[in-house]
Amino acid sequence: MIVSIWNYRKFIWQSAWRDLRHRYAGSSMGFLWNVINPLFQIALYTLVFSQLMVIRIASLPSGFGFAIYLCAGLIPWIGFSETVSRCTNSFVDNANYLRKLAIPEQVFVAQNAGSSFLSLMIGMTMLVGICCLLGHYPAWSWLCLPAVLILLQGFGFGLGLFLGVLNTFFRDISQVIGLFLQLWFWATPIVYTENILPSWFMKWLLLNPAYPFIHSLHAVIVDKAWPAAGTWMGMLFLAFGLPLLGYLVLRKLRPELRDVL
Amino acid sequence: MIRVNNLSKKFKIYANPWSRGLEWATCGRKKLHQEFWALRNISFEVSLGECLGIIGPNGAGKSTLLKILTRALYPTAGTFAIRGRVLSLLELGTGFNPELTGRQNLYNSVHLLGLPKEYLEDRIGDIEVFAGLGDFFDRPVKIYSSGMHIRLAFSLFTFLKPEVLIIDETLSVGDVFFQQKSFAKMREIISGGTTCLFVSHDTAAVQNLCRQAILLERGEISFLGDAVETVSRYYGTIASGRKYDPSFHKTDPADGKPAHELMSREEIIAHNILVKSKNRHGSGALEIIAARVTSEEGRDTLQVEMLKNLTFHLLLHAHEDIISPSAGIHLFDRLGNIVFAAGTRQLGKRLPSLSIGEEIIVKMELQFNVQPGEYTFSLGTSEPSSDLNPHVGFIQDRHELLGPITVTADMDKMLPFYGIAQLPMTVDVCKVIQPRTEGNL
Repeated sequence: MIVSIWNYRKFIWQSAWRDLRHRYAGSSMGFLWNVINPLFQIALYTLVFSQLMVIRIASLPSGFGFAIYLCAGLIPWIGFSETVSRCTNSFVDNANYLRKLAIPEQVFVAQNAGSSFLSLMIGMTMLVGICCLLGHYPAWSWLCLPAVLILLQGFGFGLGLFLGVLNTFFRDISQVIGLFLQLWFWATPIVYTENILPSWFMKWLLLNPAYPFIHSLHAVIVDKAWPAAGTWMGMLFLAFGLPLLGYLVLRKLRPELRDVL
Repeated sequence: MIRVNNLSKKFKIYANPWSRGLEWATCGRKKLHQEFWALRNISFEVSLGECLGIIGPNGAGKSTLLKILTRALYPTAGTFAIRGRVLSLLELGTGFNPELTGRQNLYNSVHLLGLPKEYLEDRIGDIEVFAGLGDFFDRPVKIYSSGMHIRLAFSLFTFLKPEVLIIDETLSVGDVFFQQKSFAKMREIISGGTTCLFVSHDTAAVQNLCRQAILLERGEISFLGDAVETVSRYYGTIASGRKYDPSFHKTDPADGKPAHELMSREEIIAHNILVKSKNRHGSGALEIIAARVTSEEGRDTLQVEMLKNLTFHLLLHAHEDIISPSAGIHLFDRLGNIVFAAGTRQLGKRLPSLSIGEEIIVKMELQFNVQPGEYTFSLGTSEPSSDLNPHVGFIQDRHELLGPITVTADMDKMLPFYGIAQLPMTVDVCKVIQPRTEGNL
């Protein structure tokens, strides 16, 4: 799988980049929307949670503190859920190519994951910039942000690959995933902090595979700390385990996959 | 080189996705799908520089076969090996992005095929000229007509000089000028040593480009052999199994000549040219027992001077009751083009209906208004098909690849015409009487 993705790396990056460029094709500001959208989102949350609904975070300056906490989890989550939902549809959406071309299936999943990753990087760059503006300056620990984000996208890619294969056979999955991602979002401490949770829920939180990622992002961005070794292990396990699972399922079902497209 | 070995493809058909889920849940112990074999035990070989045609009715498995060979589908059983870089015209234009211009799309496609950019840079000028899109070459593909779309793609593919080329229908698109250009290009590619697989409903194109062809029926190879024979068998399969309605073909009965004007049964058998015939097919209900070919002087010969006649005497024997049969001849040039084909039906003559055991003698006289050269011909009998299609007959007996007939000409004299065949042409002349204008010069 890795070999085929490497062989098609140029195609993947080109089409991911093209996707970003043409996502807003026809609008007069075009590519700028890729920047405006996350910027607007961050600004909106900052405004609401610093002026209207003030929640204090211990390690952050009052006022903008919660907004930074929120964005630190929300922007990666948006990138992650976009990756999962788009990868789930990647075979169905690219049926036109798959029916006729010999391009390996996983290339299309990688392409979707790539384009979500690019827009996630834009969003994170905006976030870092805004943090600086708000007086929350970067620390050395922020250097591990790209690694965490890549692992998160690896997890999303693997999950998307797994679901994408199944979705080809059972088209309801893409609908179910839309609902499930909403549930997952609220089950993960993104818009709320962990300390408000009842203690019985904390046990369940450890079973939430998105938790180690969001937890480390909070730790890195908000508390300027390095993620714990156990968290790294969890993230590495998911970021490599899910693609492997997806690949095994794909390998098993590959002969039939294109028959049903 | 392409080698295909016992290739089979099975599709599983489930009533709904749930039954697939249920089958998976029981690890396949409970079988809930219907099997559909799109291909069964397909084996063939195309050697280097050959062009193999594949024809067959809709749903025979042609596209499935091509998709497997281009690795867009996985076979259920069997293997295949293709040596050399494969390009498939199935992919034609699928990679085009409507927002990009023709030129940008070509670069994009080359990328998609995994070829270096320089490869295209050397050829883009030729491609632009060949495609003949003019200004549109640098305009977005979304404003192209479908014909222009194909032209762009075809131009690219022909210039990529693949070692193995897989083509389907696409050749019969575009206007007649582009088609001729495409065919010329195809011949050039084939003669340049490219191995070709050509799938088409366009039987003329198959006969034209391929020496050999496969007839695919319900996923199986029902015939593999000479392209011309495959095509005529293909027409046989379309028409088979249908009853004939005699009221449909309104033809006059052929005037029964007094017996002495035609050759006798024994005279035909004595000089039968069919004894050497090797390519024969058809249902055999109306058998061509013997055929004799004579010149205007009555000599047995297959050599004829340009614009002179040859006479074909056929002795037919009915093994079944047959309504309104027809007997005819096909003439092919050395490229495999059908120069001319007609039977008694096309001439508006109806042969008498025959009952079992009856025999008739048919005499056909053909004037060779064709270029000097070597021609092959086929003789056949057929019964009209029922389905109101006047172009399709059910072949009873057909002898292929007879001849060669040599058409000669006195090369010291001017030829009476140029081109494949002489068409009726008349000339009228008169001088223009100009009014006198004085002093103007």
